[in-house]
Amino acid sequence: MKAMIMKDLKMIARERTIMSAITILIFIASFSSIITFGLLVLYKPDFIALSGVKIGVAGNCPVLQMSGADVRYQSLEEGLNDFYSGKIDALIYLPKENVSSINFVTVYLPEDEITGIIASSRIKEILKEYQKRLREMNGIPSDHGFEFYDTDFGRTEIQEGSSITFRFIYAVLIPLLIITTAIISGGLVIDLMSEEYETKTYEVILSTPLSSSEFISSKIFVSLLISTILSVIWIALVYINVGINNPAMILILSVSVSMIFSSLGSISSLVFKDRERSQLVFSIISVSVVTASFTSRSMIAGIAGRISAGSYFTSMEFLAYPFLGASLLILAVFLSKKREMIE
Amino acid sequence: MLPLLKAELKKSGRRMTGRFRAFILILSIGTVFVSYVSFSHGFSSDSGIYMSASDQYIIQNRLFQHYTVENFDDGIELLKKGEIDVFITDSRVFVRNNLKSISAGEEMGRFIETEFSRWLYDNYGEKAFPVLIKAEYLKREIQPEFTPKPISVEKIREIEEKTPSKEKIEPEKREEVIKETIQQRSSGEEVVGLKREKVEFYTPDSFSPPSLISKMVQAFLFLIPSFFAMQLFSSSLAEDMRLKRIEILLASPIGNTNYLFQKMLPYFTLSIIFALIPSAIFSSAGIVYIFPALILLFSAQAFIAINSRSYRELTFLILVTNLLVLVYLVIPSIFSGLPLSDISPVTFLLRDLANDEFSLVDFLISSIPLIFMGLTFIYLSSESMTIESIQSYRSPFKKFADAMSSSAKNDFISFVLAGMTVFFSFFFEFFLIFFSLSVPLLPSFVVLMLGVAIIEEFFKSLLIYPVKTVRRAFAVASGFFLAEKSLLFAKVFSDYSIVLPGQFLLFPFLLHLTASSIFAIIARKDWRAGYIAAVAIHFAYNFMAVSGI
Repeated sequence: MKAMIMKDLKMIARERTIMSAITILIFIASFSSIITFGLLVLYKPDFIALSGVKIGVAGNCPVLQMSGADVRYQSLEEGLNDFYSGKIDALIYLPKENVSSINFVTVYLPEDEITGIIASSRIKEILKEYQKRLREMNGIPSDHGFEFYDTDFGRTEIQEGSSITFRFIYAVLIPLLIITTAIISGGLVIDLMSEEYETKTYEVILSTPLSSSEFISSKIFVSLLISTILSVIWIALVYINVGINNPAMILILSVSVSMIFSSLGSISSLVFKDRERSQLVFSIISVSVVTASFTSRSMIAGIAGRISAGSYFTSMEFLAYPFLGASLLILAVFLSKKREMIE
Repeated sequence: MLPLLKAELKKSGRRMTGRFRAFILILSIGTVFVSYVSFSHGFSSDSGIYMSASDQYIIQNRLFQHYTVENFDDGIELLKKGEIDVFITDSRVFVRNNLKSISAGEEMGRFIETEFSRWLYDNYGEKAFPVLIKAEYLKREIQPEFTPKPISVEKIREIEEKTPSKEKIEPEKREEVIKETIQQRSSGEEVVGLKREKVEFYTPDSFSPPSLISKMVQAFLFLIPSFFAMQLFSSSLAEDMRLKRIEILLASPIGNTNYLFQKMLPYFTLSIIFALIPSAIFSSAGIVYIFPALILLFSAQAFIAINSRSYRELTFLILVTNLLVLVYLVIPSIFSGLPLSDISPVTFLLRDLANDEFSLVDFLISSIPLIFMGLTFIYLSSESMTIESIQSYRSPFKKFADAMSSSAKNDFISFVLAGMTVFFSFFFEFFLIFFSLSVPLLPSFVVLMLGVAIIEEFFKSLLIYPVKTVRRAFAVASGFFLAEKSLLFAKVFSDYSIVLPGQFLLFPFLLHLTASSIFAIIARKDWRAGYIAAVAIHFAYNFMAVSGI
């Protein structure tokens, strides 16, 4: 069995297959910041603002005109002329203001321009201020009155945009890295097994003292070893870059999820014997597992998110995965024994 | 007429028995069901990611694991110890000075805002929401003029007609907009909706720039099923290689390209069918937008399947390739509203699904790089189907270089191939640009300029390497330069040139010519030295052009 493991590891090292796997994970990890950047641009556009944007207000709307705009116009025509000539970046238009009723405001923004996105952030602030003033004029409370404080009881401001980053890193990126590692592991075990089946070396292996259960165990072992190496690498990278809580538990969880996928892959390969069908069945199963992973707090992504973020989780939620992985592994070995007996 | 196609179908029929097909059908139905339930249920892996406590309130929000404490001191103590992320009492919210706690504070603020809006609606009704917003996006071309021409009266009237008023909007619609604001979005919104309704009005609290992010999941519905067809295709092709069937086929009169075509056709058709299903469900021409991506993905998989040394290598390289292409296709849509998002045809698919208007020409331009890269891969796959290449143990990357070099049979072919490699360069430069966003400005600037030089000189050098003459260098530099400049006519690619110094005409040509010629001359003695010299010249030019020296 040791010889079999060494053979597979040597082949993986010779082809530098693991390098492709590491590339995938580094790629996912590095692109997290780009996606986060994109999300920040959308949810907090002034994040990318290098210089201020100019907002104009047009129409017969004295309260709106006092709510923080830069330039005031009497008519839409004047405002649009300045908008098209680039003197202002966006225009708010309200033909006639009615302080005691609903006001339908039209906002003109430039299409396909970064200033449009930045301007929308300022427009939001102006119109929130306008809403606040109208509420006050109608005797409606305009503010909830809650204030933020630090632990030294000093007033503090909460900048928008940090939650989307935090949730993306811990509830999406880290689970994605765990799942990608597991898919790599499952795919690898199928390839290792089907190559032996298709090139008929499996029959030669069985003529040696090696049993089918040892054969399947060695293949799963190799894939789990690779997944452990990959997990250590990405956990270290995330730890250095953004920090990760309970890294040892995340490693155990990652290897456990890999064990689930490797066992499923090996069962698929054991049943179908050829790569084409084994990979197809494995991929279809993987799609359902991956999509289901993000739907509940106790599924893989939910538990990985809370463990890595240092939030609350129960030991049952965590232990379910090593238990499930071990059970599937035993099932795969049992099925291989049964298959050997039938054959 | 198509013997290989028949043989392929027969082989699949033999392997994919009735029982297996029934099994796959059941499995697929199960997967579709699970996926539908999952998407409808919504994304909730962030449930309970923050921990809150209060001595007065009970927070019922999906993101918070809430604890009730006896008094103020207990809450503050827990917060200081890091056992909770946010503590709320009276009208005060306490946070610690770290990312998690600040994030929790932000979400708590949002929760309070929503609860406050709901309270306002319950007590004051519509009157509490006196501002409704409609956003209009107008295309403008700002020309530097001393006396700008005023816009026409017709245009003003046309824009003014779109202005909403109370009389034009039904009360139900107004109520709907307000209720949208007071709903807690984080409690599981519908991700996959079949409605293609466009949101028209916002309150100031719900107003945000247009985003295609919520539609991104739908893009995956168009793409992911096709990956199964691709997997079958690459497996079948790889099996021909592993079991040496290809060697017999190479000895037959069937040409390499013909073999690839017949091998690919059934699986490509299957992937088209897979893409047609969501197109029908969403009543969209989705298949049109996905088609260029399918060409690229299938042809790239063909190249990898032919040149991989084992199934392991095949799996990993396909994973990397699929990931790169998927990122290229899907990520730009995150930046909707910026011209760079138009680089991918998937952005146009999402715009179509969101009922947004767009230019057909822009979509066609976004498809060109994918189609040309696909055609190049088909050509290189066909070129690498030789007994020597199949039997050699060289890595797929080296085989790619070999196929490129051996394809450059004369100066004209090199000229054409150099033009084709521009699309590969743009593809990789896309990742460079995005990667540079995640590092500080100065190193990112250097990485970007150096990366561009390394990529472009790599492709050009491959085509010059076989003959190493200045004449070949001229052909390759001209082909590369012409294709690069043609692409810059398209707005989306000209926006690229703001980052990559491609806005000039004569200087880039001289640069390509100089770098290529230097490589041709030095590579006669040592190709590595030639390549380094070409990269150094290219980098120096880029650096100076962008720095304005």
